[in-house]
Amino acid sequence: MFRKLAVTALLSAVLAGAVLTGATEASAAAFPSRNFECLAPAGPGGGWDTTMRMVAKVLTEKGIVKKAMPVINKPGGGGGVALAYISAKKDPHTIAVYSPPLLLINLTGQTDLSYKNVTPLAMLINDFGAFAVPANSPYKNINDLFDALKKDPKSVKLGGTSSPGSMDHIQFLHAAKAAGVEVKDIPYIAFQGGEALASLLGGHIDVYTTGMAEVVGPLEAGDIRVLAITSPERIKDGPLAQVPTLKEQGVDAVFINWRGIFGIPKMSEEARSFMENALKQMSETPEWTEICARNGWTSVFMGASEFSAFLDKTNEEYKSLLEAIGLYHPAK
Amino acid sequence: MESSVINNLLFGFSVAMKWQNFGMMIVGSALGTVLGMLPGLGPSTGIALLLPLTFVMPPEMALITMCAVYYGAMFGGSRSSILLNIPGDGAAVASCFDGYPMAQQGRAEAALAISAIASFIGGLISCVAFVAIAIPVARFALRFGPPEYFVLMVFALAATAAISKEELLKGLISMFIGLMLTTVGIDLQSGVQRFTFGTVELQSGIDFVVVIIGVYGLGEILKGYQTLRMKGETHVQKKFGRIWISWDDWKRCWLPMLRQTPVGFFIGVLPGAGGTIAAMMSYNNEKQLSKHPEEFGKGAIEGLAAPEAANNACSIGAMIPMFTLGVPGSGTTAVMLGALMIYGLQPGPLLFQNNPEIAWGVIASLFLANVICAVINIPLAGLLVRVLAVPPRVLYPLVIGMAFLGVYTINYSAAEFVLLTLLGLLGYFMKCYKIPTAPLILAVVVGSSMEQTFRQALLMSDGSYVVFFRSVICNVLWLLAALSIAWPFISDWRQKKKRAA
Amino acid sequence: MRRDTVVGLFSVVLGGLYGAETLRIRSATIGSSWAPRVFPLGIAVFLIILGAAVLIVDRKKAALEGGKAQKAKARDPGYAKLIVGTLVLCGAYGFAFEAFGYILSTLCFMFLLLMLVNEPKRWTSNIVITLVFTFALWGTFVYIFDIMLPPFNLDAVREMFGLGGGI
Repeated sequence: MFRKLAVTALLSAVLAGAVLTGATEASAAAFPSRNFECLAPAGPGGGWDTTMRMVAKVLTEKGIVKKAMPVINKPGGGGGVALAYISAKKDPHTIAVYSPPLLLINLTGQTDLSYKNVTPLAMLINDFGAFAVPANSPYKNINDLFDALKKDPKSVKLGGTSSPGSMDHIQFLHAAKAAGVEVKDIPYIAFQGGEALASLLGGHIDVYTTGMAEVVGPLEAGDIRVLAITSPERIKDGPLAQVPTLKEQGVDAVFINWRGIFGIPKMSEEARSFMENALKQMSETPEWTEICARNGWTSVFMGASEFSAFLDKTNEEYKSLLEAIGLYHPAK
Repeated sequence: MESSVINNLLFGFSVAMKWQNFGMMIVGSALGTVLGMLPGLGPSTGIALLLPLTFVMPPEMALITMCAVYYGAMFGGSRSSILLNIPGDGAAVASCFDGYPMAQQGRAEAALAISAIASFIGGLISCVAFVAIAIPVARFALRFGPPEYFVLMVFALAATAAISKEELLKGLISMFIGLMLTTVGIDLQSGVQRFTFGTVELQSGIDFVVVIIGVYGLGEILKGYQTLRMKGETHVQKKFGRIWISWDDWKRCWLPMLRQTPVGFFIGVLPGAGGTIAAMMSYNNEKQLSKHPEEFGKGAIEGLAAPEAANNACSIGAMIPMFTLGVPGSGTTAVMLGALMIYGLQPGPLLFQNNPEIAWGVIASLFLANVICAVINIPLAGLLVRVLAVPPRVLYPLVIGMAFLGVYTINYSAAEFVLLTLLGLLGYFMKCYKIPTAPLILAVVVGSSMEQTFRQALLMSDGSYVVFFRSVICNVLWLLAALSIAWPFISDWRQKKKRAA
Repeated sequence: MRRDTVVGLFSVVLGGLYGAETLRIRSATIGSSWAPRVFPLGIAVFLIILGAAVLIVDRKKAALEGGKAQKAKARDPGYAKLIVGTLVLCGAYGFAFEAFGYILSTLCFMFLLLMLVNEPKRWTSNIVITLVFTFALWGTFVYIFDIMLPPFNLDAVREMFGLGGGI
């Protein structure tokens, strides 16, 4: 029994060795020449992980990319661990998914690396934020809330999932600033996981700032009222269709939770354009459309150069918001 | 009303008993049991890895499979606690206290049997409670805000640290070391980095599973080295009996199981508490109620039965806020909620109206999965118990190797290996100097929420400490906390009086 | 030294070091600037107080027992070597894992650990156990649980053999 196992084990070792040599020899061939490494900068199950898995799935199943694309999770530091990993890579067969935290973790001084240390390939998805209050709240629309904040910034208990200076917090400040509220003094209570929603339902906080997907359930059940969503236009169907946008209520602000794919820092032109085209092709498949519909994502394709310009602009916006609340800590 | 519940439940069973669903339930339970046994891999990882299934399965089938894995992992988690003194995850820590001593005394069969039986009973009662009182209980749980959670955690810690009079001081030291470990990382309320020493890896804090595996697992092995090569010291079991318990064991256990199940169930319903608190609280509770508390920690079978019943009850309770309010009650249910959303299904009371086949099918599958897990676990235990026949000089290296791989899967990085090694050293030190480790473990699990709820509460009240006495719940919990600190002294005094009489 | 003397001193020193480190935490720029320090400072203070209490209680006990030494349990004389060896191997494993991937590092780690604990004279069974463990777990994680363990780190291996890094 043991002997048989030992033989099998040895055989596998030899085989593995063969794979290794094969991979080394193929290095001279055109891109892609070997299997990819697809990074999800968080643990399994979250938004980043799901996006990366779906992208890899469609790319390989539709034969757009002929090499295998296993997804590797690298959680930690709000995405900073994966950022350190990919920015040190020299082999272009590594891609990662990122969203606003890529910019925020640099601006708040969590990491010295920034979006300049990766190559933007394409923006794929947009998602939007929502501001919710309990069903029995005195705030009937977003302006009631902002008026109360203008009178006394401490009169409203604002809560969200994850720490100050992260996406949930910033999207609210972005809207409040556009409405003319002094954002500096608005207290923010950070929760983890489902605790923020539970606290809202229990009346322990007044306003909950979060993503659209999180509010649909309690909204349908009639437990909460959603005052506004941060998208440029109304959502077409589902319970969120009745919820007005910020713009409709006279607040000139849009907050996009964008998600895109990034490559290693100094990517060759050949590899970069291959990936950009592959992602463009992928975004046009019916499979991708279906996946987006299922997850409630808005599919938006934006190519590399446009995406890059978008990031420059967005980074400045975030920076001024963080400066206003004293959370901007430039990297050394 | 009553008859409609029964009709709905029968409808649910008809969904769950479809052969495809039933088959997946068996596969899921088995997979979950294996997953739960491996240190570091717990129910939430298991379910997250199953997410891609949602693209090939109909929703009720995918959810039933996920529940089966969740359930299986809860059953499996305590195997390694009992046999190796290495808890599979936080909820199984309390199963080490009396489970491992039982195994060392050659009663591993009874320990494994009672853990499966207790899990079954705890689960079954909670399923019934789920059907009967889910919505009012979930509504009540919402009255727990940050101040209530803070006091709840104070109570849980006080009860664990004060487990005996002699150990009180050292128990508190252990607790504060645990709390200390949880302050590492980015502070949730201010975004300030604390004790990260400039490393990215420490920014998200020290995962409690690393602490459990290090302090318990590695620490235990290092302690075992002291007697590894001495003749007659290392115990290897050669003969194995049937996996079952005697009538005497049964008589000792039935009451503890029944009375700790509701404790676990209610802790489960609270979105801010979890299996570890449930298991620890029920253990302390049972020790305080017991007629012979001195046997606890030395292989008292009821000390194993109580937390096992409570942690399974807790895992069922945790599904209530998800199904009734759309609020995930734990990491695992958060992933399940994600799966529901992929199907465009919205959890909440409306789920029962709009998609009864899913809501009731899943509830019925909990009953069935409970039975399946118990059936799988008894023969499986017969196989697993043979681990005790492996001499420690081979077993120890294997366990160390598994522990490291388990830790790797937490963050998919080997950076934690160094941390694990250091924590192993800490565990060894604590064992050598007789510092109890249980308070440290519980403190590590609840510590960060304890600090965060404390500060959330102060932010809510604009700095006023009165907020911690704002409700009846808070005051009752303060009272209970004070009582648990005083309890060892009270029971000591009572025994002295009895002896004097 | 008596057991509890060590525990008391440990707690006091740990609390002191931790407290000193706490004071170095950056001030919060949102909310109260001291907020992130309050909880850790409390922990530090309690550790010092409790440590001191353990020392005092232990002094009293020592006086009662009249300097009788606590009897130590019999130990294997070679255990210190085992502990130090294991700790060194465990630490090295982390670096090897990152540098060379799962397979190479685990083969070395398990083999060396078994040679240490299970003694060199059983080297044949050590080799077999190492191989079975490494590949069986790899198979379980990758094929059953779909958890990717990096099998090799190609860049590191290539650099080691001087085959050049980037493509």
